Amino acid sequence: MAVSSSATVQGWIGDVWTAYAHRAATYQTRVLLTIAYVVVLGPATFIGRLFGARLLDLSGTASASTWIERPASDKTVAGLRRQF
Amino acid sequence: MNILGLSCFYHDAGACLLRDGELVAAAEEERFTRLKHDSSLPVHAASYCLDAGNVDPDQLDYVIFYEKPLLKFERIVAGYAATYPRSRGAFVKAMQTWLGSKLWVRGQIRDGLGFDGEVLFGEHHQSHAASAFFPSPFADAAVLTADGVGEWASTTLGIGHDIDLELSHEIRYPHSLGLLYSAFTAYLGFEVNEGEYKVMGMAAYGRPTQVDKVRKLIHLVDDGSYRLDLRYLGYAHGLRSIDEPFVELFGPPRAPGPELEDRFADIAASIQVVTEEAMLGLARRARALSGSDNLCMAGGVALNVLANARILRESGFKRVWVQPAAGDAGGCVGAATYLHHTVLRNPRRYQMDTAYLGPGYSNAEIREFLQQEGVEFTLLEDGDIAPCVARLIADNNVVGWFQGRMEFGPRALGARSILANPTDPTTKDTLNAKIKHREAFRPFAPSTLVEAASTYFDFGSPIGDVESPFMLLTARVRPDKQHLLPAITHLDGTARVQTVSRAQNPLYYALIEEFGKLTGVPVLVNTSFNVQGEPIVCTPAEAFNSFAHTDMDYLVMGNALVPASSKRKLGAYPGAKLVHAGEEVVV
Repeated sequence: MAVSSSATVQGWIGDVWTAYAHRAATYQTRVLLTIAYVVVLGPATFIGRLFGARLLDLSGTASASTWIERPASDKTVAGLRRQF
Repeated sequence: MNILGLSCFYHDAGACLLRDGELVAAAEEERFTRLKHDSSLPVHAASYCLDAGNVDPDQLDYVIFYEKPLLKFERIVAGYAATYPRSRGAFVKAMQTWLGSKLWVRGQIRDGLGFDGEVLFGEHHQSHAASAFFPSPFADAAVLTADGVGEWASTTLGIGHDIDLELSHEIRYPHSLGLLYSAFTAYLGFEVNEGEYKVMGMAAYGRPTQVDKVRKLIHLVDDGSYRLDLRYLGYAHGLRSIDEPFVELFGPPRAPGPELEDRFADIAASIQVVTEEAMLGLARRARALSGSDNLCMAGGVALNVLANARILRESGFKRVWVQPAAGDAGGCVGAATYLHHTVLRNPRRYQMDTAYLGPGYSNAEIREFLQQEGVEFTLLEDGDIAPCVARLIADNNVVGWFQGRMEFGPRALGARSILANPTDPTTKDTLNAKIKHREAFRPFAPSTLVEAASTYFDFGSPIGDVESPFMLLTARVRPDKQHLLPAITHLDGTARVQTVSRAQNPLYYALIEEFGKLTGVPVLVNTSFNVQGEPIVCTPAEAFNSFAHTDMDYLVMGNALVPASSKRKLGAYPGAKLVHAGEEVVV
């Protein structure tokens, strides 16, 4: 009976610790990603904008076509191995 | 040669098995996990496909995923950089899922399926295009794809010829007809990627009085392309699909619920009209580029049946073919067929005449299930099923119909259907209120014999008779027949029609034929066998449980006829919780 109670308590502590660790990890990840957003993406974006980089077509005249001609696709198995 | 196609991780995961160019099996993951629109790696659907083909994972020649993850990741990072610093919240949330799982697709597939061989990666819209062209009846065709967004493209045009497929033009994110329609779906109080067809249903109740306002959001260009004004839309920098200027333009959004206000119906009608005009422009451009009389379409926007019907009537194409799983779930078919035909240069032998590619259950398996559960039922002789069930429906009973292999795609096509009498004016309200538990403004669709279709329905096709085997075209119910079909004639006089041939589904054909003999009208109400929020039933147990939780009068599974008096709830109410939340949109 004593062993059983002890195992239950240990299991409960384990569950609480796992839940805490998961929340802490999620929180840390958010903090790290926010830092990456400010420290990495921010300056890279700023520099890109200085040099006129246009990452998305967010503006432009209403009458301008949005068609883009696609290059011929790579019709090889090697082309399908690539994830990009 | 065995190729397993997979599509997943955004919405509506699916898997298919292509053997020597023939589609042996295909299914959506949601049917197995019972989570509507489940986007997770389709291990259950893949396992079913392998079982159906008697194939072990090590007997697969290739596994191919329907898009290129790193290209998509590039677009997402570029998008958040372009909208810096407004994109912080969306960036953090997106990166958590990308770094946690979406970047590691190859490893997940290998681990999930126990597969050690070659994993390949198609391209999102190429997969859509191939899923539309290669299973089609055409040797050559123009191909049009339109959806929310893939890697970069949201819309593409191309040409298919025999085993070759080439996409020549694309419109790129953030300009997206699919995301625009989803923005209105969210604004009108429906779930994104779920409620778009509810917007279509609502549109019939309104007048397109807000078209000028919608045109502030989307400019249609003379060459068939279009451009969105991103000031009104939020998805480029956040998780909401609409922004404050959208609300200032159209007023406060509609709260979720069954009520229908004229203002919102007018907005639904307006976005529907503009979407149809945009799709017509794209189709006309596709025709001009290809010179073909045939058009194949796929992508989520190709599920807009009203737009499809206008394309058939007005674009100049003589024939239009939309594959039954035109959304992302069907991308797996395109990835596999593109590899088999265009890359490996194998000839085409397969044509998708039916969508019955999912699991099926024999009469013995159904009987065993019913006996195990102690359910009272009557066994019908094979030749008696159609006449008996036709009589029940003619007497205004609502019948759950579970026969043969499950459909692939979002439509029930006579394998997992709830059937009712279209000539009874009370049928629609009965189905909406007592069985489907859904909004009263949504219409029900008819199934009819292919030979009788033109008697009751006018597709407006330039070449006369039209087949609509996958219920992906609307037609005008002929004015002199509308009084005969009150349950399926929508407010605007249209219906989303399924035509059934004897070759496609002999038993369902016989049932409609028998119903026609009894009533003079060979048309049935056909709605999907599920309750609101539940994926379409897959197994006999799921069918029986849904039957037990609703006011259906009879259940017919194989040759077993189960009366309402045999109902017994096997589990909780099956209306599943949606896996995506409200107006959030994942791009």
